[in-house]
Amino acid sequence: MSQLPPEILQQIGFHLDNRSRLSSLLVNRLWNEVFTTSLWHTISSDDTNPWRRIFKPANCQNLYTHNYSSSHDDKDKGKDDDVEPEEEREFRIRQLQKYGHLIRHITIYDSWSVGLLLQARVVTQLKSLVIFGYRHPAHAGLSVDVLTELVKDVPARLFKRIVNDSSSVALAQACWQLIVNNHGLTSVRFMYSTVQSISFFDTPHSRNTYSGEDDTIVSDDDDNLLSTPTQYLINVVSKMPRLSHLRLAPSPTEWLLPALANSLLPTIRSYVLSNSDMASLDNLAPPSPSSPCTTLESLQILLPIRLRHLRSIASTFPGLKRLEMWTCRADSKDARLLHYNPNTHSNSGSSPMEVIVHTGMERIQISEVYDLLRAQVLFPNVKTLGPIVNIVDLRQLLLILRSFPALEDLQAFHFKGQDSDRDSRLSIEKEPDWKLKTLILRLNQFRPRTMTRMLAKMPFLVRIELRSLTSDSLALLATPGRYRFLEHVRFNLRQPCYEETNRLLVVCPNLKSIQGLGIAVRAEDMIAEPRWTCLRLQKFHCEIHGVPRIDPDQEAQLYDDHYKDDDQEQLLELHRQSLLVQRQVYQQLARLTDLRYLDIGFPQRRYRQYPPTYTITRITGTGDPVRTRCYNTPIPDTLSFSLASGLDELATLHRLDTFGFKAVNHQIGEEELQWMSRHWRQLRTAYGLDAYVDGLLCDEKADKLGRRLKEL
Amino acid sequence: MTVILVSSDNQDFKVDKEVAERSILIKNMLEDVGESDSPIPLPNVTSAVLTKVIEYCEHHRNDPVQVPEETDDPRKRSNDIEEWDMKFMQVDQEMLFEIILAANYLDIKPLLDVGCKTVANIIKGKTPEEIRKAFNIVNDFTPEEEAQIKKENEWAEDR
Repeated sequence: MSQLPPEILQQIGFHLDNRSRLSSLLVNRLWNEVFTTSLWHTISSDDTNPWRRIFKPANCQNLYTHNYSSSHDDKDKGKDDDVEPEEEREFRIRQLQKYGHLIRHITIYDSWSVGLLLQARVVTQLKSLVIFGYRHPAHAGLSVDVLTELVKDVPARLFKRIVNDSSSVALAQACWQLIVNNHGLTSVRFMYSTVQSISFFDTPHSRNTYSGEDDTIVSDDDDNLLSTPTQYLINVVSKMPRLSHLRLAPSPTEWLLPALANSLLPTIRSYVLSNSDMASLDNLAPPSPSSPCTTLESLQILLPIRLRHLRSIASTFPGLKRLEMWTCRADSKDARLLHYNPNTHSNSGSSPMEVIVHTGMERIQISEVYDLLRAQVLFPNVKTLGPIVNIVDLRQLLLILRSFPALEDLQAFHFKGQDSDRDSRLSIEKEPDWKLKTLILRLNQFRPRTMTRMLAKMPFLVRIELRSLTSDSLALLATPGRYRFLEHVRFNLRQPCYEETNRLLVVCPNLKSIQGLGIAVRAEDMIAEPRWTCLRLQKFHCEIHGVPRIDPDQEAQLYDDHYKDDDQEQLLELHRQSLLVQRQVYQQLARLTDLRYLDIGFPQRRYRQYPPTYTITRITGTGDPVRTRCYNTPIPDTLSFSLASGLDELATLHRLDTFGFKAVNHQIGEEELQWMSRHWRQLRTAYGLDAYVDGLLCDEKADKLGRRLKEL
Repeated sequence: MTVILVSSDNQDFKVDKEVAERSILIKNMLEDVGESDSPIPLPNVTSAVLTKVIEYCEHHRNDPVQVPEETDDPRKRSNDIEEWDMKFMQVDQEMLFEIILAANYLDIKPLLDVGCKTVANIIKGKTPEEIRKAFNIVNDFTPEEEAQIKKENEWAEDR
């Protein structure tokens, strides 16, 4: 029997929970070695078991408690020593000393962890470090010299200062020392935590130097508050060849961006700017053209910026691929830019701004995209905007598509504006084809005709989701051979478009999902088309109309001797016809063996000609019949889903996980449900069933009907 | 375009290039060799195992290629196994280990992941003795060692 080598066991360890790792490390010697490694690989000092027992004394298990004594007084040494038994702390430090070298990823929530990790000395192999709460070097009052040596020992008094006071200088220093100790870090993130004391933002009254050798606190009266931490950080980072992701929490002064601009931090590829002060952006000047910073690829700005800032970022960081901003608007200093009119690409102002072209950018994350069009920065290679973009009207959509010619994904949800006559005058026909692959517009209203004209320029669409369309757009999409990449379609149509929907289903070779209001087909069209729809279809939410059905009263007549034979004969013929059509429709659906989602249900309030409510009787768990009012309107001209009508044809849909028949005048009885549970093993959700199945199913009416049909 | 893979027991397997290239090892080999019809020997993989591996690659031929991430951060990992993969992995343990070793050798990361997840699911919830039994592993600890390890990890047990 072959055994798995250690490197594979280690992979397995990553997929286990801590409990299973603990079991595994007791299996044998090899497993002990491997799973001890995976147990310590990734740890977090939060309240999740078991790590808090290592990081905090037993009497201080509350997550955000920093002070285990009411007294902060350093001189009151004897009192603090009583709090945790010496041997307990010894044990915890011993564990860290033994296994600390195995830790690769750690998330620190409290000052206890920082103190212990530092004291254990062996935590030097970290790859990523997340610290909740911010310890700015400025607060640490660190000198320019980086402590490159490992701290030999943390004296008891200093340890207390670290763990007892979350805003202490000693704690900030300890955090940075921990970073310095781990040269191999690739990612350092200080996360802002609301629970942490806001006092991190306060300017410390005195800045002190921590020598690491003893607890001597040396006062340092360096006047240059700004440059010292910057220099410190540059010194730290320069000793960390792999550090590529850096996030610093809000701080009173932002000092890193200029350093990045001047290529002083060449390993940093991703940076999060989270400053409340815009001054550093205003002062950001592009370095000399000969040595721009090309290493920074991702910049996240957690503050609103101005148009001129976007311009300086674009010219300072030509290597940027991803940029995230809250907003980018104009203020009075941007006045010169404001004269620029994006509609005409002409500048009516007296001093035209130079257009900056940033070719590297691939993704811009901002919701108010339209605002930044005025900054006169062109991003010819941006493929993704958003995640969600705010667009007021189709004119803005057109401008965005013109400004970002490589755009592939666009989602807009918040349409605020009104439809206007301007839209119909937009000149679209001369535009080249746009590269859009995803277009999701959840707009309330716009000119369907203008939209159709724009759709004509989007032959590469893969996913399209639009509200309020007319049959014109649908007919356009169903042009044979034109939209051959389409996979996902979701529309709200103003009225059912049977022919267009059916044609779309037949001509798109890659269709995977289709859904929406007014997406509807007629049974006769489905049956008439031998190659009906793409066999890869996974989600099919579509109304099916045009199925001949006799209503329940007529059905009752079939079994009633009071009616004349020729009446019955006529009804029986109608009924046979209905069963035949239904079976043929099922046969078409049965070919879609990839189908996960099948819904032929109808939305509420859509078909007003049918009675808005109806009442059914259901049997509750206690056996008492309860009359329930349903708000779904039963639609009579669609599939009944009874076994008699050919439901068994759908046994091929074994992947089905969702099935819907809301408001359908269905005949699903107990047998049908049993059949579904036997054949659709993956089925998790059924829409429409809830109205009469609650615990025990039993719509008496449907049940009786089912039995009678069987007799027939 | 097709390529021919030869298993350790000298059986030829003709597969589409696209399918074979789910294996990064084979992909790199093909790139190194360039256009060539010569069969690719896979001396570490038996025909029974290769049949399974090809079945997997056929089914996943259209999956997007995973971008190799530098991080081995397990927090980003998911423990879900797709339905098809789950069924695919319903084999005896010997075969399961063989598939994992082959996936490792052939450098098919998604298959290796699925295999490791499957083994992880077997381990989950078991005591050390049950794990030994499940994988036929001999306990080579001395009783003292075992007691020591138990004691040392007591802190991590659920209380």
